Amino acid sequence: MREERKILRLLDNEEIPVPDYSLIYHRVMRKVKPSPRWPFLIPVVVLIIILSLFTRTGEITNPFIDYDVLSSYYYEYPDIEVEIDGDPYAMVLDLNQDEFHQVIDGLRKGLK
Amino acid sequence: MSDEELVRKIAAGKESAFAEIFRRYRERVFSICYRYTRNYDDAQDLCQEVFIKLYRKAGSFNGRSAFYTWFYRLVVNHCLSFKRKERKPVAIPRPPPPDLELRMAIDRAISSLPPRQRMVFIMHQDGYKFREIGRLLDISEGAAKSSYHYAIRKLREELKGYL
Repeated sequence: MREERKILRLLDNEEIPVPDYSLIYHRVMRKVKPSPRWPFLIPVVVLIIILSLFTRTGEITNPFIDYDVLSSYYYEYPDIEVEIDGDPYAMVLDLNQDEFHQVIDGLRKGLK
Repeated sequence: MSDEELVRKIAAGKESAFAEIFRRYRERVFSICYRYTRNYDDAQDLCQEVFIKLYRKAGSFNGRSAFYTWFYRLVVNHCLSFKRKERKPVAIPRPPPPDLELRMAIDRAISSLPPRQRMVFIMHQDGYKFREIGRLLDISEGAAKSSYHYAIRKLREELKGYL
């Protein structure tokens, strides 16, 4: 019992070092309330905006599709652009002339 | 403002409440951590971790016991689960002066105790009764008493030359 008291006295007398409590507090706060990460998200957001702009203007295309080969023939329709030598305006004019001629022919037949 | 009110505010995310609790308990927490680890750096790390735990677990305080009882239990359990990190031993260039020698002997003696005995000894030194120690550590009063006596016996052997 006497020795126990001696041990306790020995330990009671020991000095406990004093740490820098403000540093500990600062570390605790840094762990529990980490600084916002939004600055790191800026490049990601910019990339998303750029990508959405490109896809809107159609400049980004599927690399596995050959757009020269892919035409309306792909869907079993005649490729009108090929048929009219790549001039849709002429095609429209042609179509109108045909219609016009059909109407004239019809009128002529009616008058005979 | 009472501790219990402060903890409720911490749970609601009020930083100033946490700062106040930190100010009230930092010395006591560090003292327990230091006396348990016998190492300044480890005690700092433990103290920091304990307060992080308090911040995160404040919401689980239900007010059934006093705050300090709940918090003391958190500190004690955290100390018991502490695993000493590998640190490089501090080189002592010349023979240590007598007080440093005694201090080293105390460090050695307490560090040689198994974690449970060490904690029971520290808590008893802190003024806790064996019944309370048993309740805080989830052991019986008898187990707390016997841990304490084993600790004393071992310390007596280790500190033989200084008693």
